[in-house]
Amino acid sequence: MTNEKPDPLQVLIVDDEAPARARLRQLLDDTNRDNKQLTISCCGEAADGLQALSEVDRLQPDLLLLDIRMPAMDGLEVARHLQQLDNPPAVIFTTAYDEFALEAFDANAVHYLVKPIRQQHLAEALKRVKASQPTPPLPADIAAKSARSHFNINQHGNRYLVPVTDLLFLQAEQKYITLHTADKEWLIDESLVHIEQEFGNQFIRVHRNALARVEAISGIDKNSDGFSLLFHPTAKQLPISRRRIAAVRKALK
Amino acid sequence: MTDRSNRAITDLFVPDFCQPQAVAIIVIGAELLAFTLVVAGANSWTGGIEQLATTSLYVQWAALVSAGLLCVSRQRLVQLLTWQSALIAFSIPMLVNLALTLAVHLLQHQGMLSGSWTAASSLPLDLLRNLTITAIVSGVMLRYLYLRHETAKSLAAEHQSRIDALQSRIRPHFLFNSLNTIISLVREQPVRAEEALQDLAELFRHNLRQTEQLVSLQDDIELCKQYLALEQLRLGERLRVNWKVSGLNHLIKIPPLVLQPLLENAVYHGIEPLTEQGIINISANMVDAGGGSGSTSETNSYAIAIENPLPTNREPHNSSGHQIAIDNIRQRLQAHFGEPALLTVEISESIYRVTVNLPQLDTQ
Repeated sequence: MTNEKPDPLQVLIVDDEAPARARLRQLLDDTNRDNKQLTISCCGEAADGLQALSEVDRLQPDLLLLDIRMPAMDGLEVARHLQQLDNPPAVIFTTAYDEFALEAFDANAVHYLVKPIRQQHLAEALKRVKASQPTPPLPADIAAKSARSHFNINQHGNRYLVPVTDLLFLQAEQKYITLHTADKEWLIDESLVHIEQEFGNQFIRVHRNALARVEAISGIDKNSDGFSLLFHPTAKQLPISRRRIAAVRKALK
Repeated sequence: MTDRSNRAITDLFVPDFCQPQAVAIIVIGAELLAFTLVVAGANSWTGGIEQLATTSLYVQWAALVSAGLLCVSRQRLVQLLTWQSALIAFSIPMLVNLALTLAVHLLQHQGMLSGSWTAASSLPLDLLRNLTITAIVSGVMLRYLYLRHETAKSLAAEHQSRIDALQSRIRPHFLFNSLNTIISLVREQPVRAEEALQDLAELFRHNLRQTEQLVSLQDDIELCKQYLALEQLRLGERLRVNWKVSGLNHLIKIPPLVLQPLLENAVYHGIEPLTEQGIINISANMVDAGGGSGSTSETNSYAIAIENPLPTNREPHNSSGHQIAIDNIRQRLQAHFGEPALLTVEISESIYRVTVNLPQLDTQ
């Protein structure tokens, strides 16, 4: 991995539509043929965001041609996870129609191409990448526009993607937040307030230091210490602060 | 809460006089009126200030009490018909002025007022003068408020109909993705590309038509099949469509752009968010609504049901736009058929199902 990069630009094509991937391959071939100073090699394809991330790990491409609207994980979230890599590949977004994102991209000099893509535009974008202009980071307001579908966790040098739908609750402890799934706990270095803002009503604040995922809650239990949330079928419980009990009840109705 | 106040605004032309802004305008307007009255009635250079003071006192009282009463009674006015609320809104300042004029005369009679108040003429003349001025001022004001409200309402309606028209159009997302798909076919499968372009042209010809005239369901289903053929090219294995159509005849009509937008919703919200294959089931058949005598055509209706999978990771922000589209289709069905044409949405654990019921029109 520390070797110098091979000459051709290694490109990973990411799009959920097979004809769109085929078209990009055609275009890359054409660009290879027509441009002496550009050598491109299509190193692989992925049909959704999750596949894209695992292909990035496996193939170590220099560049992703990344569709925005995809099942499982959209392109914006893929880019967000990529930024946590030590040496992230460059990203050129591709999209058929996405007014909001494009305006923000223009304002922040994010590379993108609109489908159907013109070969000339693709070639220009590839040249910019080749000239190793750094890919600007995805602006925070775009990244935060849609909530993540996965948490990206770095543990002992390994990366894990934990689906948000696996979570039961989050608990803040001093510097870190613990993510609780049915059978595991993960540590992340983020702020509870930001997570609360990002996910809107997917999560509910049940305590000064805890958020619970509404869909995962199975009921409320009353015991001698007060109230706590239940997450059947797991045995995990989460105490609810007295001040929030009314709001929690209301949200669960 | 907000819903209710929004409705109140569109139904009642009398503005909310409880707002500080409205009170400020009332105070300024009343003072201008008082000034006008004094200037108009002045016949000497002396006593002008005192006259203005007493007239202002009277007019401000009348205006603010009237506004206060309108403010308090607004909740009731909202529930009345326009002419009833207009009558009440007109009567309130009239009654207030009647009461105030009587009060001034009573106080005068007991000698509790002095200065320019004593210059007031006889009670009948005072009443006639004050009530005439009140009638003219409040009449003109109510007329102005009514016209302003009507203009605002028609602007809002026009705006809404423009949004509705846009909502029922094909998504640009579909257009550009389809064009991209067709471009990818041109070199390898030119014949399929030709077919796809023809389907796309047909689809847009129908979408761009301005008319709301009913079309035969048979033709509309053909159009839907062309639409789904395009989606099939684009999505491949990910989309499976099952058609089950029976009892179709040329008497069954449907407004344009009902089925195709519903199918587009099914693909956009039901199939595209899935990584694996999803199935759209379309069933269309006669429903015998009447009891035994199934031959009477008016009791029969024709039902078309579209089912698509409901992905677990739904995009919540899209659902409001989706709801507007559904409401728009429902309104258009009702405009054509009245009550018997129904659009129902059923959402179960993993299936989204929308059903359109069409009455069969008489041959005569």
